[in-house]
Order: sequence, then structure tokens, then C-alpha cells
Amino acid sequence: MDQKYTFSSKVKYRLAGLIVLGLLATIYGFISNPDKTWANLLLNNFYFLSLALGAMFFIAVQYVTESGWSAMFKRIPEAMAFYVLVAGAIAILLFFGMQSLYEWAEPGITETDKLIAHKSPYLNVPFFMVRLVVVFAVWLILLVIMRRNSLKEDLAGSLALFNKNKRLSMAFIFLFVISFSVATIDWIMTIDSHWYSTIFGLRAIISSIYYAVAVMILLSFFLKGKGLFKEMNISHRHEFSRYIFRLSIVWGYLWFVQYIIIWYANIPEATTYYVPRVSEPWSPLFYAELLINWTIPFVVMMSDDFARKKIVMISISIMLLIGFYIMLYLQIMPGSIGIKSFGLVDIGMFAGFAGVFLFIFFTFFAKAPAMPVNHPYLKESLSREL
Amino acid sequence: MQHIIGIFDNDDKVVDAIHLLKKQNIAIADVHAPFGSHHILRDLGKESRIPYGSVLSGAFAIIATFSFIYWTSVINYPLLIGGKPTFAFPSWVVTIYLMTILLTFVGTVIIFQMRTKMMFGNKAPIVHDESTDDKFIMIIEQTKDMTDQQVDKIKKLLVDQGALEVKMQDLQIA
Repeated sequence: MDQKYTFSSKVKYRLAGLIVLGLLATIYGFISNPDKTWANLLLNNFYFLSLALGAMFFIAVQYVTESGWSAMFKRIPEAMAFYVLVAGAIAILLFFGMQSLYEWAEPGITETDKLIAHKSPYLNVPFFMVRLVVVFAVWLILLVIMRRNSLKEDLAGSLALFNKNKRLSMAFIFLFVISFSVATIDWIMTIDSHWYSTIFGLRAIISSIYYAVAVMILLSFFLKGKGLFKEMNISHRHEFSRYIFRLSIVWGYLWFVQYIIIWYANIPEATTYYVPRVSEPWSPLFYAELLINWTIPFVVMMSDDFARKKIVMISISIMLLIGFYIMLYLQIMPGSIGIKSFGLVDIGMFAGFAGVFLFIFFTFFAKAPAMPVNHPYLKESLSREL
Repeated sequence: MQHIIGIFDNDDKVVDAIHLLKKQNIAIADVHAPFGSHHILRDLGKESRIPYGSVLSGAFAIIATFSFIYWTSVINYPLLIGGKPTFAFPSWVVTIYLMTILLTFVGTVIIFQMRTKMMFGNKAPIVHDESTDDKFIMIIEQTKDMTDQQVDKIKKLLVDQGALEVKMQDLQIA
């Protein structure tokens, strides 16, 4: 039961290959089209940061609700969350690309643009960087403390550590909702600096846990293939697919809420966001986003017997990861570069970030036993039956 | 018709008894339980098909509500509201969504009542009073080709599985 995953050098070399590919693509991108590359850096970094924080949010939800079924998988989201380390470094690096990403960061814009001048007490570069550092500090501190408690629990096995983590989880959920809203609004929403949506942060929060569960599904099936998680049965698959199904409903709901308010009110300052997105050349992506992230998962996962099949879960999860890319692509690209282009550089950069994410995941996953040995709910999780 | 009635106080015991009886090819007519149990239903082979009823009523609700709004606001009485086109689909979604919830619920209840024959005024087929309290009632039909010996065997089997009481009862239902 206290099996550890061995991060073999074969996997290491493959992931290192992906990272090198990503680096080459980034360097080539900076030479050929720096604006696009900054936007791509932001997109990919935010993509994997969302997955990491969503994984942490998932753990926190399991603690607060005292869910038993997920106890044996706890180490997967825990290791995923450590991408926050890299995300922080890259986010600080984005400081140098701010002028090409954000209209409001251009020097002298406050004199010509009244609206940005009005927002400038909040939207200015120094305060932006302060907020960035603060939110990363909050996430990192909570992550490190919760991970340490979780590792201590493996040795000691006391309920006190579980309760401590439960209280930390409550704090995390509270702080995460605020900090991640702030972060999303700062990094993504201010690209269209004249536009705002009050539900933008909530959409990002729900997306983070939605796609993090999809990644967890893929990783748990992968690790089961490697001989870990032998006890994973149809009940666990059922719980995972329920997460996807229900979060797809919430995702669709929030997508629609944001859209209908703007469509119905028809106020020019609000519709500026949607007008380019529902017209050429972005409109195919606009409809694909809704189809991939809501319609298909909702319809396919409706039947229990179907949703619990391994092949269905894996293909839906992979599809959702593409859907998440489309979602962020539509949020970032029309405002920052305004040209729809997708090529080998974009794929290479995504592959590089995926390589970093997986490298960090496997490094931290291999450090501790694959299952939390002394978790109070481990037995319930192992013998889970519906 | 004569039925063998076994009364249990624990759903795990009922599940074990179902497995044993199934192994000996003895058909169980029904199990009455104080609460719904997936385990019992699944092992009995009587899993509910009510979700399909819900999906059907949901699909009906979507089509019916859409057609109704389409007929009222596009065909029969097209009004310009706020400069929107008469076929203003996004604003209909809210209505369709809420009507789907309502009609799915109502439709599921109606389908359930029809299937279980629990219409108003019908008397509930209660075999044993305590099945409405905390006991599980297993009903096995005594078929015509069942000898007394076999009946005794089943009775003994139920007692061995932890039945509190086993008795014969003349029932019209089940």
C-alpha cells in the first residue's frame, strides 16, 4: 500500500525533450513574433496554473466535505499543485511583456484614454505586480503547509493533522476565491481594458476545478497502468465522471449567464467583447467552445453506464483539455493580438509547458507514497462501493 | 397464491440471501424495503428505469416549450421588443431551462405513479406492516411445481441467512 512511483529516466528524457521543444519554440517565437509569444506565454502559464490551483481546490473541497472516496487519489492533485512554483516565476517574467499584452500598461495612455485614466488607481504596473506577488505568496504558503501536514500524517497518523488540514482548506477556499478572481481579472480580463464582466472570476474558478478533474482522470488511469491504484474500481470512476458531468453544467450555466446579460442589455461598452468573437474569424471557435466544454460532456456523461467506461472518460477528458485551450485562446488572443493564427510555435510552446507541468508532477509524486498511508478515510476509499 | 415471506432487519443480510437463492435458481418475486437500496435492486435484477422516463419527459419539455414560444412570439403574435429579432433564441433559453426542470419533475412523478400503480385512492400493497418501519420483506412465490420439501428448504435457507421470521402468506400481488 505504501508503494512509491519511480520516476524512470525514460520518462524523464521524454519530458525533457518536450521542454526543450517548448524552449526552442519560445525562442523562435520571440524572434519572429514577440507580441504573439508574450500572449502565448500568458495563455499557457495560466492554463497550467489553473490546473494546479484547481487540483488544490479539489483537495480543499474533499477536506471540507470530508469526502471518503477520493482519499486514495489525494497525492495526484497534491503533486499537480506544485506547478504554482514555476507559474510564479513565469508570471513575474511577464512583467517585460506587459506593454505588448495590456493596453493600459502602455506609457502615456492615461492622457489619451479617459476610461483607462479613471481605472488607473487600480490598474497601474506597480500595484499590478504587488497583487501578483501577494496572490502567489498566499497559494504557495498554503500549499507548502498542507503538503507538509499531509506528509507528516504518513508517518504519525493522527487525526489532529487531518483536522488541521481541514481548517487550512476552509481558509484556502475562502482565499482562493478572492485571490484567483483578482488574478484572473488582472491577467486575462484587463487585456480588454475597456470591458468588464462581474462573473469573470467565478468562471475561471469553476473552470480551474473542472479541467483539473479531467487531468486527474487521465493521470489516475495512467498511473493505474503503471501498477499503482490497483483498488480503483467502477465506483471511483463513477465519482470522477460525476464531477465532470456536474461541473459541465455549472460551466455551461456561467458561460450562458455572462453571454445573455450582455446580449440582452445590448450596452455598447459591454458588447465590444462579444462582437468580434461572434463574427469572423473567431466565430467558429466561439461555438466550438460551448460545444466542447458543455454540450458534448453534458450529453455523453448523462448516462451512468456510459460515463463510467474508461474509454469514454479518457476521450472526454482529452477533449476538455482542448476545450480549455480554446476558452483561454478566445479570452486572450482577440484582445491582445487581434489576429487568428495557430501554428507549430503554439503547439511547441504548449508541449513545452505540458512537459514542465508533468515533470513537476512526477517529481513530487515520486517523493511520497502514492497513497496517503495514514489518511483517516483511506480505508473507506479503498473499499468504496456504491 | 401462497408466498414465502422472510423478514430481515439488515439490508446486507438480504443481499446475501439474494445471492444464495439466485445460485439455487429460486426466483424472488420482490423485496420490500423501508428505503431504496441500489444493492438490493441491482442484485435482484430490478434496477429502476425511471431515469429513462426523466430523460423522455425532459426532451418532451424542451421541444414543447420551444414550440410554444416559437408559435407565440414568431408566428402568432410577433412583437418587436427592445429592437431584438422576434426569433430571439438566447432569451428563450431561460424559459426553456426552467420549464424543463418543472416538466421533467412532473413527468417523472406521473410516470412513476403509472408504473407502480400508486394512483390516488389506490391501496398500497403492504405485505407486512413493519416494512414501512425498519424491516426488509422478501417475497418468494410458491409455484405449482414446488414440493413441500423445497418450500421447507427455502424457509431453512432464509432462517440461516438471518431472517427474523419466515412464514407463509396468501397474497394477490407481488
